Amino acid sequence: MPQVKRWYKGYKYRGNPRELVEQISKKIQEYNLSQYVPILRLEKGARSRRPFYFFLAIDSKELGEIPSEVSESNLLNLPSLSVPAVPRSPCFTYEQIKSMVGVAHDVHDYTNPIPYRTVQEFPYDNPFDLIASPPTNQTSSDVDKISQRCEQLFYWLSALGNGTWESFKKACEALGLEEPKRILRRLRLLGHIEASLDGSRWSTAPTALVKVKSHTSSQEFVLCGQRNENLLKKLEQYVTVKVINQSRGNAPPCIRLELASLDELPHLAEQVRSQIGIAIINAGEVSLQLAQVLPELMTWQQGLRSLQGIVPSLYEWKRFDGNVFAETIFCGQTGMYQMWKRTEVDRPLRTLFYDSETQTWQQGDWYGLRFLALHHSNQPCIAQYNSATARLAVPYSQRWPELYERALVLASGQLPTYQKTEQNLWLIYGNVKQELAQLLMEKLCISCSESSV
Amino acid sequence: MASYAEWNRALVTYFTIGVPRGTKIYLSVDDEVLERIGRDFLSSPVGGSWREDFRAAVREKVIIEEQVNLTNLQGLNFDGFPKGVAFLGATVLATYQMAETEQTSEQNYFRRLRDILDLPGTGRPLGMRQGSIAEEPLWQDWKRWLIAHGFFPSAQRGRGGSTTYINYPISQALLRRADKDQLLRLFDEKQWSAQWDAMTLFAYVRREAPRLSLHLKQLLIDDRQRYEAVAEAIYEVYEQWQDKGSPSVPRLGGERNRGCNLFSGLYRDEDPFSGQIDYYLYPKQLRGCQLDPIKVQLKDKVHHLRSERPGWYFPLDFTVSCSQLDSGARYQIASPDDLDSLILPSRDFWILIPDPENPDSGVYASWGQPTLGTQFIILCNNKLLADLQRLRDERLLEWNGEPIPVLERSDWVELWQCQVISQAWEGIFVENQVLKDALQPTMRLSISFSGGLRVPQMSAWLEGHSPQLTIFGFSPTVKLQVTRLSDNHKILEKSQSTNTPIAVNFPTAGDYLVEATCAGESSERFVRIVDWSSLSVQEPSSCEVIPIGYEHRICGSIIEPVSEPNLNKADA
Repeated sequence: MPQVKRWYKGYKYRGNPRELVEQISKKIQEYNLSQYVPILRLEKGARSRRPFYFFLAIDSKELGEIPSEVSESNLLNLPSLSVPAVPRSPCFTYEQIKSMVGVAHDVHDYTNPIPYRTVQEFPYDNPFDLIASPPTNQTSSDVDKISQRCEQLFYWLSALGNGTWESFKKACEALGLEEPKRILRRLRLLGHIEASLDGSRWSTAPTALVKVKSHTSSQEFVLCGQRNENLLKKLEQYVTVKVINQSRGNAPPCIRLELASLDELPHLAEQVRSQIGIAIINAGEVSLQLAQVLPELMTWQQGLRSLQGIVPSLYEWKRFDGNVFAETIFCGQTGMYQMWKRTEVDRPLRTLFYDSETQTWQQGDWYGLRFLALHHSNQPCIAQYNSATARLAVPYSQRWPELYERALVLASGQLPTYQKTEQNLWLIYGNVKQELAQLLMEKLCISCSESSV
Repeated sequence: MASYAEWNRALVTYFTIGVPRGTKIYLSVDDEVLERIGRDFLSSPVGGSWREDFRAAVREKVIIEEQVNLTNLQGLNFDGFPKGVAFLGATVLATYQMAETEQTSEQNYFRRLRDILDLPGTGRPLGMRQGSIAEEPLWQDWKRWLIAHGFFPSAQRGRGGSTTYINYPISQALLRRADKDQLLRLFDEKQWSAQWDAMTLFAYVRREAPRLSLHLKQLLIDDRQRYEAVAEAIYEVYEQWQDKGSPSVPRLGGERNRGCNLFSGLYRDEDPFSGQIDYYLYPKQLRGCQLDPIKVQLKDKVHHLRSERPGWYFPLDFTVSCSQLDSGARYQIASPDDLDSLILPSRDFWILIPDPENPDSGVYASWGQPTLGTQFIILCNNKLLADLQRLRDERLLEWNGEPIPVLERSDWVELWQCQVISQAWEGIFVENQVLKDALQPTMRLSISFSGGLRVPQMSAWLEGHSPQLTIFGFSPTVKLQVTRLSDNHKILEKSQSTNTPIAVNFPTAGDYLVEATCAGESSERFVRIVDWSSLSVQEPSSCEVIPIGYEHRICGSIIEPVSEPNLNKADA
């Protein structure tokens, strides 16, 4: 295909420059000539009622040659194209006219282009990919402040119903809440929200009352799922409501309801539904129900999402050695791995579990994968239970897979507190029945001892 | 006979229902619109014609002793609708009836209006002596109402002289009766049958502009701000012509049926892990009517359309293939009988913009033309790259990186982070005129909000987390004004640099009007600030559930056996 050359045909004109452009534009459209006449350039400072020069760009095989499509149209017969810029000089190059014309769009002198800024594209950050980090200390006023913001975040999430991970992150940012991945995880543990398996979407959970163990004769429940200010006010009209901040304030407070008897529940739900249109589900004793239906660890592993098509030689790998991720050459050994792009130095592309028996890469919550890695490396997983206080202590370094931990959290509606001993940092779960603790520990192959915590 | 109040409500509904927020609204009342609206009334029309019925209702309301009395039409009625819309519709109808040869003069306009109101004489009728006191307040009520409901008003005052007030109705009439008849003759001659959408048809009609009437030519070429609305109006005529079996001798005048197809846009979904991009059918609602339920047959499955937001149904769980993108597609609508097909138009390109109601969601779809300063994605056949490169070379359009191929073994590519950066596109000529029309900005100013904490369902921001404001435009500065609507208190009035975000302190929850003005052009946006207590609880449109083994699943604290179909809320 012959190469097309661009040259300019120059004219002199007196009249309104804007109208001139419109007139020529219409003709080019009418005869479909844009392929041959792509641009019109005006002399800088062209004004109405003063003569000015303008140049039509022509694309043709040879400089100075008018394509037949153009000559056969009546474009060049327009009165505005009757006076050549320089007699007997039909052809200009861009270099020849550059100093006297602006870019094509300088029709309006006041044109002020809108600045273009590229938006930095970040590689997708999986909300399930966490890095274990011990908690920081916070003052009680910090706890109140953050707690309130987390409650606001959850009101906002409830008002939206569902959304994308991007929108979740932006909302956290707007409310000044750091570490949105951890916030999302805590909301899942508390039964407030659910995320899609790939982490790209979230939806708030139905409003429900979850029965928890009571130390008095009353029936106690915690509120899970969607809520707003109106709901809390309405509940306060009918029952005793306690608002308990999470230990570090980094999640919405626990809303605990006390009812004299179970019979009050249908009436309460009906009042709420009829007055503010929110349906409340009686979810029962979810912690125990969940513990019962959860599978044993190995079955849980089989149900993890497998990722296909990973070519290990294309990436660099770090393997979890029981304490930290250490650089390794992947040789098919079972374990938890960080997958790094060769060019990426800030953070791993993703964290996965490799099962050599099935030769599959599996994806799941970060702590769950770490627990699997510990289990497969035969590290003893331990816990301590105090039957007098109904508290269960789990080493922070052996945090359970998320759904199992959710069963513990829903026993009280509260996230674990932290306790440091000489050997370990412990996660302390409250209001845990012995039956619940035993059931979960059996399924996770955890050896338990009686404790005084 | 329908009452004035019934006509008033029906007109407001017709022009705003099924219309996406952010659309410029034209009160383009004409005979066909009145016939369509009338069919939904339970009563019989006066004289067998809904046009006559409408005229009678307006006359009964506003003519008192042969004088026009508009004093009772100011403000809102009990339903919250502006009371004067039906009267304003009558003024637009007067413009619609102006003949091809008729000059747009005050004298001619009032002659037509007097005909509609059955008033003898010439010139401004008694009771309407001063436009600023008589009809202009009604236009202002309509404008405020549109802004408050998330639409853009389009009615404009004239630039002085005799057309100052009559320009309001003139700016609303899109196609006159004579224009429609001319278009029908054109369709008949051309016998176009491709699966185009409105803007593509518009481009084809525009090629014929030199042979069309002066008024139609002006609509097709001169007034860029009205392109989209004119294209929709032309498409309605085209659909009517097609519904009549594309007759070789089009029937002029008389009753015309409405088109009965739904159109689909594209909804883009990107897999965050693999980066794979899929496009889904995204059906658009039909303007002016609520049809429910709608069932569409896609291959072997029937899909129910559910309303997602004004103007749009939820995207269908049906990925669009390369061949469907290439040549468009038509899917049968199983019910209601009034509707025929869901059409994915055949296009060479799609412009996918961030969700205007939730720009932070990371989702892109064909929600409309990008406003100034908005970055968007162009999905196009790679044969358009030469045209796009020309626009880029001339610094009219910019994008980031190289074209990204999408859909395996196809000619389709995506350009990311596209942005229009200049306004003067006139001197650039490209092969694909539809592409240029779609990208060329129609406004010189645009008000954009970013950040803050937005509540999409309420089109509002939360108190204490109001948005930043950016005026995008091609002038270095504009006049910016922010008014609290409850007491008309100006909370901000200053000269503001364009293209720079600023923080505005909205002092209390409430409704605010943001106005930017420069060189005779203005842009307005409505901002609603709500307090936390006004947040409601919204049932998720799609609910995430986590499987537990093979027999159960959990959503929050609710455990269900897998056999149960969904997580419905139930009584305790």
